[in-house]
Amino acid sequence: MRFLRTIFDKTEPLFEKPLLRPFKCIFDATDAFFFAPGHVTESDVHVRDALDVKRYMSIVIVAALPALAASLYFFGLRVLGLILVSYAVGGAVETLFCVMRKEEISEGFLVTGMLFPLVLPPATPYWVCALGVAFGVAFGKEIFGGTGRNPFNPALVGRCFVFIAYPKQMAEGWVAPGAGPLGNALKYISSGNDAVTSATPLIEAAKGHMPDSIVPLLIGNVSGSAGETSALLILIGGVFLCATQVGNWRIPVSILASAFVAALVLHPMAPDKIIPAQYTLFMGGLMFGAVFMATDPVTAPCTNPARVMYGILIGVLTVLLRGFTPLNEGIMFAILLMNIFAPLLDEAVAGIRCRRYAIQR
Amino acid sequence: MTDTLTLPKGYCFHFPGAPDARVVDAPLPDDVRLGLMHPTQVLTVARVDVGQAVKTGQIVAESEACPAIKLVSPITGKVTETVETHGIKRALKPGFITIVREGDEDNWETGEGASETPEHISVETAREMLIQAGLWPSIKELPQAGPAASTDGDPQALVVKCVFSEPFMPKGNAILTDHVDEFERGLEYFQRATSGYTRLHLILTAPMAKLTQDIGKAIHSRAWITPCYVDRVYPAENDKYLFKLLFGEKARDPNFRAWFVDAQTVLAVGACLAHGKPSVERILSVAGPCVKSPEHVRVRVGSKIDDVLAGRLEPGENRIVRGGVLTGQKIAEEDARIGPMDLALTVLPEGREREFLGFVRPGADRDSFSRTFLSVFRPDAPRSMHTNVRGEPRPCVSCGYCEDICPAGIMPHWLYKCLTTDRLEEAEQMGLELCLGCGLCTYVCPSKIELRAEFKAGKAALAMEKE
Repeated sequence: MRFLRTIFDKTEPLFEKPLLRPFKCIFDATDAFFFAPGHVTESDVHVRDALDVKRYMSIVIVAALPALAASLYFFGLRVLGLILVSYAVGGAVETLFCVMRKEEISEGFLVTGMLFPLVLPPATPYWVCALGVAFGVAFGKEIFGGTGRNPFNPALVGRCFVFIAYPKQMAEGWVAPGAGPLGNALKYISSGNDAVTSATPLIEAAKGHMPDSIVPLLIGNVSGSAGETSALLILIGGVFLCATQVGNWRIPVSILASAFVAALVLHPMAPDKIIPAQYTLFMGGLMFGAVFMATDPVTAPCTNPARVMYGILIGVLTVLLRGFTPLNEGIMFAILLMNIFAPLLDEAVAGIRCRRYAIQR
Repeated sequence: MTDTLTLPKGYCFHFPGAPDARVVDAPLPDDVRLGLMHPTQVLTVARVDVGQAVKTGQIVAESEACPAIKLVSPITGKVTETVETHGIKRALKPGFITIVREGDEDNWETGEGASETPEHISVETAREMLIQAGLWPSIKELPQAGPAASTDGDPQALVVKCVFSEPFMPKGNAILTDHVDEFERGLEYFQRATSGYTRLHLILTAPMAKLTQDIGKAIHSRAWITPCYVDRVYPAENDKYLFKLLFGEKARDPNFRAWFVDAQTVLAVGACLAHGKPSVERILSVAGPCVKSPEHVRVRVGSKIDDVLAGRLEPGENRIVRGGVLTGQKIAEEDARIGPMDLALTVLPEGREREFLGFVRPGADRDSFSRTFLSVFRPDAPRSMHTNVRGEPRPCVSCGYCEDICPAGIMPHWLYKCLTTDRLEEAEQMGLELCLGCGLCTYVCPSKIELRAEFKAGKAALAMEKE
């Protein structure tokens, strides 16, 4: 890789010139992507753990790959198109803010750029996807100061924006899943199928038609957002995320457990509004949200007891929003609402810890 | 009576380059230099003049603020230089004393009051002899009220540590093998520095090992010694950590004090009180991946570090650290010398190589607290180590690793956010003073934040505010 290193070394002085200096962060990000930095430790802690934030975020992307593969199989190449648009536009917005702030480009948007299209209907117009990701990155993250300082999950902020601003395009974006050895993997489906064949399980449930069996929900050959349909593959990704200790297991486990219990308790009381517990977990975006969205470490609470409480409230809120509001899907708003409460939950835990430390001092 | 101390949190390192258990004697140095700034951060003042002849063990400097801290000459020779300390605060330049050896003589100045029978030494004599031998600062007192243990009153407990868990620190079996009898007597003599029989907790590891069993047999009849077995998990030797684990409830009594020493100090105490020998040499571990044949070296204080390391280092850019890999100080100055409380010289490779696509490598040989590398399937295999930061500095992403690993049970990420937003009082309430300074939080942080340095500065700021 010496030739690549030489190219970078020769290009670097160009970014010292006044015209290009504001864009040095782009060069640095590209250089650091290909070649790990050669900085050595300066303090008394002379050696460091091999994990860095780049790898941390890469693990999240790897965990989402099974769900991505499922989305390509079921809904075709258009999903790739959405992802490209998402990375291009999201990356541009992130870069613009970094250039303005004279800060380094962080890896956080690599995750946002991947997860955002996976929560969109597969035939969402590209311009809607672009506006959504731009809104999400700008107003969900950058105005708060960038990576590490955002209170809301940027992908969900974008999703919320397109949901409210472009409901017609969202409703027309559902696609019936493909089947067979390759499914829709080589097809490009540019617009939603008719409303009958491509209704999502949640839309059907709202009309009163519950699913016959869990199997299609597990495997994923139902309609829905691009990456949310295959509960099994999302779970596999989730297990990988938690096994590597990148995702905190308390959040998805408490979300799914509390959603299940809430549905179990509430379904007999309102059988036509609340989906039965055994289907609740695997329908819609609950699984995807629990594993990939709620586990975002920046927007979730940072203490373990608070994480459990956070998960419980998200799970219960999802079931309530699904059943008792005109919304079909509740997980997005549940997570966004609980993002607001996350610092409060942490403060409560800190208050308790404070007393424990006072005794020890 | 024995105890097994379970460390609730900690970390095991598997780095190559640990020292072998042998101890090699370094030749007598031609000259020694003693910095007037004692490792306890107390300034001493020279008490000898240029041209004066000194004997091995003769007091050459002492502190005016803390009279128990003295520096003794490590060799017999003539004083050729005494440079005074000048400047203040950041511009402080500590002075030093240089002594050049004359001939091969090694005349030891023995202390008065030594006795082959520990019972014949009074508390006052024992303490005075240890002070005159330059050994008093090696006794650490917790809670820490000053740079050295208080010479008034008595501690309620003694702790002797025979275990080091930080990579490349000296091994207990190097220091104690073939010296079990001296160690046993050293414990008796150490006891003489306190009135009455103070309970002594002996921190050991590997209960099945021959050395541990030999020590167990030697101390068997003494009811005042409690062996405590601990796993070699970092930071097992951290004094604050042991203080909390051993004394927990009792430690809340504001009058409770405990003294902490290591095995090497116990041997030195025994030699001092039995034969009047001053403390002029150290057994250091010379280890790390860049040392050709890692081992222990017995060397006179004040010797040139370059001489100790001569011929031992692998080629390449190396970093020499005085101490351990998580808490030691990088030696950057020319003509650095062995200090009176040094424990290890750790030599690490500088890691300036820029690895292609470094962040996605499978990493079967990389150490990580997370389970994101293939090395997770080879838990005991040696890991690669160098001084590369292994990533770029990033804002805190609240991953929680620092809290998961912190042995003190505090929340480093919370404290960091408090300290960087000038909320010192909140940091104090959230346990900043409980920080052990072990460096594990800094080690695991994926955002490469210098947490240990932040907390050290925060604790210093708190101490200043309280004054």
